[in-house]
Amino acid sequence: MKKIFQVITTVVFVFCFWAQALAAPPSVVDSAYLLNDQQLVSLTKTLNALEKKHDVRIAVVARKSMPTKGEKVGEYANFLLDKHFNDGAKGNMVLVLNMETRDWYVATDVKMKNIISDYGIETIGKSIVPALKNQEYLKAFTEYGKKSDELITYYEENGKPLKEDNWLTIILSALGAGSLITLGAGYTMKSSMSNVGERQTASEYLNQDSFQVRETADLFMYTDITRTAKSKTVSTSSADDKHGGGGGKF
Amino acid sequence: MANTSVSYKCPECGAPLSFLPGTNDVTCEYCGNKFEISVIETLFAKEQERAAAAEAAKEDKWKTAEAGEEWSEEELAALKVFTCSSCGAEIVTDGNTLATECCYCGNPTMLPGRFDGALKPDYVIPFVKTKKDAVEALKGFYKGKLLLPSSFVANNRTEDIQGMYVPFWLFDSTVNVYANFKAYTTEKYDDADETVTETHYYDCERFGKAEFNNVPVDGSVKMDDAYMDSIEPYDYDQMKEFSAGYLTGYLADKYDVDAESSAPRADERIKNTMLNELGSTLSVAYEGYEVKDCVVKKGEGAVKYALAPVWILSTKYQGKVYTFMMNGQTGKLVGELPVDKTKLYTYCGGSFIGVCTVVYGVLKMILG
Repeated sequence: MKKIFQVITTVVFVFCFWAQALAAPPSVVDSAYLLNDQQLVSLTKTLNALEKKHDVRIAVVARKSMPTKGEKVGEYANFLLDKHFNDGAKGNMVLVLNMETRDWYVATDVKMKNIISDYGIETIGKSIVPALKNQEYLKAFTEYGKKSDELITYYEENGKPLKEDNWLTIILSALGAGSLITLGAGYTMKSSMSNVGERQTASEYLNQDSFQVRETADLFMYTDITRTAKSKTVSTSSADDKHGGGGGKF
Repeated sequence: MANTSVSYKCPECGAPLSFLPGTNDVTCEYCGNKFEISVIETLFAKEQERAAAAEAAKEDKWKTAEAGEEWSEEELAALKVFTCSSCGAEIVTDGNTLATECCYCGNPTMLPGRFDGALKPDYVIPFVKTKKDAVEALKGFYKGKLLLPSSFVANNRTEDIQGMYVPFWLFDSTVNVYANFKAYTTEKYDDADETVTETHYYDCERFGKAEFNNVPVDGSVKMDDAYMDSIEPYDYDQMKEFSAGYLTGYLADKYDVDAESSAPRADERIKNTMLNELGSTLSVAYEGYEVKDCVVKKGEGAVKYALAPVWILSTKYQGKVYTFMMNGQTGKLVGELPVDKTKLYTYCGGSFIGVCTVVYGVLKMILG
């Protein structure tokens, strides 16, 4: 009887261990030790509540560095999304910080890509980067959760993701393109009315066989260097067909 | 009174002869007889000599009268009076006319004294295209011109069509060109925070040699250089030794801009061509270049005097004369057409509204 009890206990233990191993990781993984225990519990609670509300996964992973040297934070975020944070029925997203390079990246899966547009990712970036720069990590992660909640709620209410209200850009672009094409077409039509013009060259009269380059001498003189600051806006370099998202520096 | 001009008349019926474009013959339009250029030349050689002598004699007489006339010396030098061999009328021409037609009887008339010595052209490019071809080419030129006023086409009457041999200087030259260019290459790369563009500048020397054949420059003040440039090129393979026979039935002028004065235009075109050719050797290694300096050294050169065929068509629209010119050999027609401003504004307005609407719709779909 004692032996049977031992076997059952072992089976239950093994099953529990296996189940735990298979279970999805928590929504906050702070291996860079940016948060204290209390903050960790509080943030996990907040994100879990949002996940339950929208039936999605909203995760945060902070790392001291990337597991593989030279790996892009965006690629790693996509990997995490595919392997671990994929249990949200309506979509999954993860914010990854690389403290070594001070990169942040929000990756979204296909479903979440339809809910949060590039403009949404930009909005999240704008709301978290100031706090990240000030090393107010709890505030940054809380803002991330809050903005994600707003964007998902907007989608649920309107059936489409929040996009930038860019009517002025559209109108100005249309007017600009209209003016340019009209000027070009007008110039072309007017030019076609005359084919008179003085010739500046005599290439038809050059005996091509007689042309010889007899001497050449090339001398390097100097180099001009122009530096242009890179845009600090959100980069979507790791986005592909299966993933959306974007990131930047902090 | 002795004739001071010569009309090429049919030896059989006495009707005026005309050079038939695209052939080597002179044809009588009345009896249909055809004569080779060389035959006509022999036939009328003596007559030309006599006419030239009569013209010279008249010049002497004319000079003696100078003191008592009202004409200034410049006016006398510019105007010449000839007697039409057909109707006897006096034809007044400017000093450059080689061939014309009598304004009274329409007879094709040669002014042989103008072909003498250095004034005689070396070559002539005969007409290949006819008056009919010129009219057809003009109609073709109107096609597809969206801004052409409808009334211009509807009421269009070509007021004047004249075939004319225009004097050209043809320059042959071997040139050595020393050119100095400033060329550059660029290299672009990113570091952590910046995009860096490095532009490397090089001083490039190129020395090249080439031969140019028959670079044409018109030797007539009356002819617009831009028009003459635009009807180029002529096919010089069809160029013939000069014979006055080719001129009959057409107008012809002798040059009034001499070779010396025409040479700078040929030089400039040759220089630009050489710079393009030498510059093209830089395009392989460099992204761009600019010319810093250039020296052209001309080697042996020759200049030929040739007459080239041009059809000149003119029409009037709203009080303004529009002139078109066609290369009498190749049929290339050039000219400037009037622009209907109402059409221009309508097309531009329509295009503006159309493009704006389409771009707005597309952007709204993508970004909205």
